[in-house]
This record gives sequence, structure tokens and C-alpha cells, in this order.
Amino acid sequence: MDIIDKEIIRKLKNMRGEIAAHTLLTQAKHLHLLAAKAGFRPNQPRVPAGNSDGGQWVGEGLAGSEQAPRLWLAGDRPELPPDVPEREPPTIRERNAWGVRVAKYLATTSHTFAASVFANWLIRHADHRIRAYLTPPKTLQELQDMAFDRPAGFDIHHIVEQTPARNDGFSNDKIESWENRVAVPTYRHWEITGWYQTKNDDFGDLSPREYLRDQPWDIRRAVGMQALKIHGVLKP
Amino acid sequence: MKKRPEKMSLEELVASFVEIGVAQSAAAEEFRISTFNKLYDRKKLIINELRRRDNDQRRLLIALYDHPNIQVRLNAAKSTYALNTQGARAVIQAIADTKIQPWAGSAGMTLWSLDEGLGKLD
Repeated sequence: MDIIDKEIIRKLKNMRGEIAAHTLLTQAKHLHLLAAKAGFRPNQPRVPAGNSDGGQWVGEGLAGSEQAPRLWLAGDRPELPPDVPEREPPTIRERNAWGVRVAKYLATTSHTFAASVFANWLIRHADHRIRAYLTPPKTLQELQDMAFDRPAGFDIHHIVEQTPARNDGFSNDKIESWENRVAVPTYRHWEITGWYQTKNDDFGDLSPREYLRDQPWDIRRAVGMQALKIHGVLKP
Repeated sequence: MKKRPEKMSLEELVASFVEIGVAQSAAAEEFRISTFNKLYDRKKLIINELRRRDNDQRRLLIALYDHPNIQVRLNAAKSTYALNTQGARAVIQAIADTKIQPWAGSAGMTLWSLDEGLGKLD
């Protein structure tokens, strides 16, 4: 087989992959239309996966009682892929928002990341970050090792938040030690940082960052480790 | 806020609670932290007013445990934790189990901080 034949076969294989990805999305849209015609309500409660009747619709009136069942609502998960605009949005904020939407859509569905079905600008802007968001949780050792050679799509994250710790008099050596530095997928980093900054009923209406101001290093580290686990970065 | 909470009927208070939760949901999704926190302060006024009414009318929020918006469900569960701990905890756990961020993270951290004695919901 000469070089030209090999090149043609490679192109055909690529085309087949793209067609499969497009077909998947078209089928999803078609199912959505059929479901709408059949009176399907995406927000109807469902029994969570893992139960014997997992995934089945819950009847009206069950939820909200004093003995509320454990359930999630079908509407929590996006049914269709985000409708990413073909034209690149003018602001970095908008471009980031689309990247996050696509990453979250892929993370909460079983779809694999088929870059070819998304707009070129999004791939240029967010390919590494989306792929990083979809990586499975890692051990602490792995995250610490990755911080020495940060891969694309990851940020350096301080388990004990660096600026508040510095403001509260902890030494720079401690804050910047290898034990406190981990590599975290950029979008998950934003989610964790967002949690630290938002006001919270749990902490007397303070944000976790404000609450931790008076806390010792060990408490800050315990919170930081748990935040990594809960946000799907660190293996439980 | 169109009316001060103390001038609102119970129905208006609950409707306002829902409206704030939906707006918070959009803010959380787009990392608009200052907007989220301003809405939090408004939500707190509504909750305090419900608590002040006869027989602690926060219990009306239990009906929102199956609201279609995940932030509204989370707010309702956390606001009624002291009144209906078992039911509220089940809702928070269910949200944590969805793995849908940022709500799953917030719910999971709530449960952990309560269990560790760091956080408190009253």
C-alpha cells in the first residue's frame, strides 16, 4: 500500500468518526422531540440510580413530604448538548462559559468528547480544559507530582488557600511547599474557588474562606482536602 | 425586592424564595460570585421573616424539596434542616449524589462539615 492509499484510508477513518459523532447528536435531538410529543416531562422526579427501581418516574405527591425520598430530578441533567455558537463570542468570559457548559454536559452524560462536533473556536479556546475536566479523580501523590510539571488544562491549586494563609501569617515556605501544591483541572479549580467564596448557611452566613480566617492550618487543610474529594479531583 | 419581607404574605415570601434561588442558580453556574452573595443576603431576609411568623413558617419551604431547580431544592433543604433534619438531609445527599457542579460540591461539603462539627444549620 503506498503513501497516498494510507492517507486516503486515514481520512476515511476520521470522517467515519465525525459522522458517528454527528449521528449521536442528531439521534439525541430526535429522541427529545419524540419525548416531547409523548408528554414526557423532563422535571418529573425519578428514583436515583442504585435503588431497585432506580430511574423510574416518581409519582406526584411523594416528594416534599416530611419523609422526602432520596431523588434527583431528570431535569438536572442537560438533555441536549449546549448549543455552542458558530461565531466566537467577543469576551473571554463568554468563551469560558461555553467551555464550562460543554465540559459539564459531557461529565454528566456518558458522551465522549468528540471535538469535531463543536465549533472550531471552542476547541482552540478550551480543548485542554474540557479534556482535563473529564479526567478521573487521582491520588494525592499524583496531583502533587503533576504540580511539578503542570499539564495543559490544569491549574496549580493550594490545598490551604494561599492568599488568606499569607494574610494570616503562615510562612511562605509552608504555603508553597510541595505538600500544599496540587495540579487541578482548571474548570474544577474555578468550582472549588467559587465554593470558598460564596456565602454559606453552614458557616453562619460567612463564606468558607471567611470562616477559615480564625482556624489553624490543620482545619484549613482538612477542608481543602475534602473540597478536592467532593469536587471530583482527589480519589476518596 | 418589590416589597419589604415583613409586608409580604406567606405566598409572596415563598415565591420570592424561589425566585432568588433560580437567580442564584444562574449566577452559580456562571461563577458570578458577588451576584450570588447579594442574592444570598436577600434570601436570608426572606428566611428570617418566615421564621418570625407564627409557628415558624419556614416549614412551608419543605414543599420545595422537589422543585425543578436544584439550587432552590438545596436552599429549601438547608433552610429547613432544623425543622425536618431527616428529610432535609436526604435532599442534600441526593444533590451531592448527582455530581452536578457546583451544587453537588456545595451539598457534599455541607454534609461533611455538619458531620465534622465545623458547620451548623439552625
